Amino acid sequence: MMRSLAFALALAFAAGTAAAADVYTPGSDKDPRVRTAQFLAGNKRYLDAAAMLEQVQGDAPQSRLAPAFYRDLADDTLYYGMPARAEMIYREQAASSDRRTAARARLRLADFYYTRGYFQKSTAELTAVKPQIPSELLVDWQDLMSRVLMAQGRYGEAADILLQADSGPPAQTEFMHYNLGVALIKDGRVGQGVNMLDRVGRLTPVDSETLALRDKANLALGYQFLSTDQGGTAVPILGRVRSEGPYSTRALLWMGWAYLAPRGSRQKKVEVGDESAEPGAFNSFATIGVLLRPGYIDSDSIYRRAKLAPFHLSGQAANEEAQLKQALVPWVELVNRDPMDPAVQQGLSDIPYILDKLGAHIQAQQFYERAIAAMEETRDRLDQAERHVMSGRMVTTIVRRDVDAQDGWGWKLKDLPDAAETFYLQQLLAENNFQEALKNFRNARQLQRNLANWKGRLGELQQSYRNRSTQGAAAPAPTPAASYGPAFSATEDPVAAPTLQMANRLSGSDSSAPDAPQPDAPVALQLATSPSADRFVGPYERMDTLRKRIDALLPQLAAAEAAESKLLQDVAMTDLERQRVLNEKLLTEARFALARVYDRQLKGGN
Amino acid sequence: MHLLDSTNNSVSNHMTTPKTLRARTGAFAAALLPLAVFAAQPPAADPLELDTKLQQLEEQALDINQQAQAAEEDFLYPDSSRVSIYVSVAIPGMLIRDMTVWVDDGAPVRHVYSESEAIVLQERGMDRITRLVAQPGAHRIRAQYTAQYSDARPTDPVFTGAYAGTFDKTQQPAELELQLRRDGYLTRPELRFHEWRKGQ
Repeated sequence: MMRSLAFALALAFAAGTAAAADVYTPGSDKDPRVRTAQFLAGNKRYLDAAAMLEQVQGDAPQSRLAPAFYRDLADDTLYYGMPARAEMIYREQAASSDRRTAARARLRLADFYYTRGYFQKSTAELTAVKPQIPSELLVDWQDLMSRVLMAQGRYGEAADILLQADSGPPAQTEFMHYNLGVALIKDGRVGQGVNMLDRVGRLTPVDSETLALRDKANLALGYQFLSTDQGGTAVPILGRVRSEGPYSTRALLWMGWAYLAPRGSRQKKVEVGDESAEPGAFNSFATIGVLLRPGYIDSDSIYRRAKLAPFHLSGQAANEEAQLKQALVPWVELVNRDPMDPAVQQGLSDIPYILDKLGAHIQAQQFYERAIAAMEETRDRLDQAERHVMSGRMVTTIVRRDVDAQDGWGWKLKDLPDAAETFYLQQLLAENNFQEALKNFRNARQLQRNLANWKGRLGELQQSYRNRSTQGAAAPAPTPAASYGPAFSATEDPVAAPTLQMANRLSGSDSSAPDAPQPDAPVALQLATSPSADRFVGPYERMDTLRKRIDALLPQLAAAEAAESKLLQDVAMTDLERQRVLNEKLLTEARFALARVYDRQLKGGN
Repeated sequence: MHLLDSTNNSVSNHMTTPKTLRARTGAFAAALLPLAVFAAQPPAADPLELDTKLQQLEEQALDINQQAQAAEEDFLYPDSSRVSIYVSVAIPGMLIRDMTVWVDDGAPVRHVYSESEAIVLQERGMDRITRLVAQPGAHRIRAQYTAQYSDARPTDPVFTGAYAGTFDKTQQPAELELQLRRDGYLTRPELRFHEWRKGQ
C-alpha cells in the first residue's frame, strides 16, 4: 500500500519535472533571444531589439545565421531610422528571400527614403525592385513611385504610372485617384485631371479620411475652375464641400469669389479612359451647397442674421447687384466661424467692401472694425507664437510625450500641444519634412538619455567590480539588470533571488544532457598562454572603453539635437513670417478702407 | 501635398484684371494659397546632411548598446550561472494580464502586461521576464498567471493558473520558457514549461 502511494506521488511530481531541453540553432526562429527581439520590435522598441539581435550575431561573429534573423535586424534598424544596414541586408537577401517578402522590405526602404527627402535614392530603389514586384504589390509600388516622382516635379511620368495602375487590378485607392488628378493638371492634361478630381469629389466616403479627401478634391477642383474664370462651374463644386470640416472656411470664401467671377462656359467632360457606366452618387446633406440652398439666397433672412439691414443699392447694374448679393451669402456664413482663421478674416474684409460698394456704409464700417480687431489679435498671437518657437519651447512641447519610446522612424505625432503656435503651424506640422526632422530631434534626445543611463550603469558595475576585488564576498551586490536596456528600476535581484538548493542528483551525472562530458573521452591538456596585463580585456576594461565611447558620442548627439531643433525653428519661423506678412497686408488694407469710409462721412459723401 | 499650387500663378494673372472688385479678390486669392506669393525661404541647415550625420551617430549608439548589454551580462550573469526565464502565449486572442515567477525561495518576479504588450505576445515572440544567477544543480520554479480573451466582457472571470516544477542548471546558461497554451478548444489554458539549449 505504502509502495503504491509513493509511486503515485512520484508520478505526480514527475509531471512538474522539466523534460529534456529542446535544442535551438542560434539565430533561428526558435532562439529565445531572437523571439525576445521580436517581442521588443512588436512593442516598437527597435533599438533594444536591434541591440539584442546584434548580440546574437556578436556571439558567433563568423557564423551565417538564418535569413529571417537578418530580415528582423534590417527591419528593426530601418524602423529606428538607420537605413544603411537595412539596405545592405535587403540587397543581400534579394536572392534568398521569397519574392513578396523581399519586395515588401525594399518598398519600405524606398518609403523611408521618400519621407526623409532622399528622392533620388527612393527612385533608384523603386526602379531596382520593379522587376521583382509581385502583382499584389504592384499598386503599392505605383503609389509610392508616383508620389516620389511628383515630389521631384515629374508630373507627366507620375501621371503615366498612375494611369497604368488604373487600367488593371488590383484597383488603386482614392488617394491615388486624387494624386492622378493633380498630376494630370500639373502636366497640362487639364481636362483629364479635372475629370479625375471630379470623380474623387463624388466618391462615397467610407471613413473620415475619404471624407476629408473628397472635400480636398472638391476644393482643389473648385479653385481650378475659379482660377480659369469658370465661376459658374466652381460654385456647385465648392458647394460639395462639407459645411463643417477642415476645408469648409476656404470653400465658403472661394465660393463668394466664384459668384463674383465670370460665369464661364459650359464644361466638356474629357474622359480618362476607364469610365464606368454608373456615375458615383453624391449623397451627403452636410455640405455647403445644402447649407446655402437656393431660396435662402432670395430671402432677406440671411442678411438679418448677420445684422445687415436691407441696404440701399446705389447705382449698381442689376446683374452686378445680384452677383454682390450672392457673394455675400457664403461670406455671411463664413464670418460666423473662428475669427482667427485667415479665411474668416478675409471674409470679414470682403463683406464690408461689398457693403460699401452697395451703399451700406455704416454696416461696412462695423465689419471693417471687426476685421481689424481680429487681425490685430492675430498679430499678437503670431508674436507670441514666434517667441515660443524662438525659445525652443515649440519642439520640446510637441515631443514631450513618451520621451523614451524607441519608435524612431515609426513615431507619429498623435496629439498637438495646446500652445499659441500650434494653430498657425497646423499645416506645417502635417508635412513630411517637418515630421521627419521632429523624429530626428526625438531620436537625438532619446539616445542621449539612453547613453547617459548606460554610462551610469556601467560606472555602477565597475564600482561593484572594484568592491569585489577589495572586499571579496562582503562587497555590496550591484543593482540587478533591467530586463532590457539600461534602466535602473530593476525588479529582480541576481544575488538574493536564487538560493542554493541541495541537489537530489548531480547534474553532471545526467549523461543525456548535451553538455555532459563523455566518460571515456581522452582529456587533452595544453599549456595556456597567459595574456599580458596591458592587453587583457575583461568586462571591466570593456566597460571602461564603452564609457569613453559614450563620453565622445554624447556631445555629438547634443550637437545633432541642437541642429535639428534649429532646423525646425527655422522652418516654423519662415512659415510664421509668411503668415505675418499676409496678416499685415490685410490689416493695412482694412485700415485704409476704414479710413476711406470715415473720410467719406466727414466729407458728407454717400 | 499642396493643392494645385502650380495653378497659383495663372490664378494671380487672371485675377489682376482692371476690374476693381476682381482685382481685390484676386489679391486675396493669391495671398491665401500656400506657397503662392511668399515662397518659403530655404532653411540654413541642410536637412539631408543632418539626417545622414544622425544616422551615423545612431549606428554608433546601437553598437554601444549591444556591447554594453554584453558586458553587463558577462559581469552579472556569466554563462555558467545564468538563468533566463521567458513568457510566451500560444493561444490566439488570449491576452495575458500578469505573470509571477518564483525560483527556489527567492523573491517573486511579477510583470503586469500592458494591452499592447499582451497583444504582441499572442502574435509573436516572447518576453524575457527575468534573468538571475543560480549554481549548477536542481532548482524549483513556480509561476502563476492571469489572462483573459480579448473579446471578454468586463464582467467575465479571468483565467488563472499556475505551474510548479524543477529544472536542472548545468554549466550552460539555462533558458526556460513558460508558455501559455491549450490543447484544444474545449480545454482550459495551461502553463507549459520548456527548457531551451543552444545547439551548434
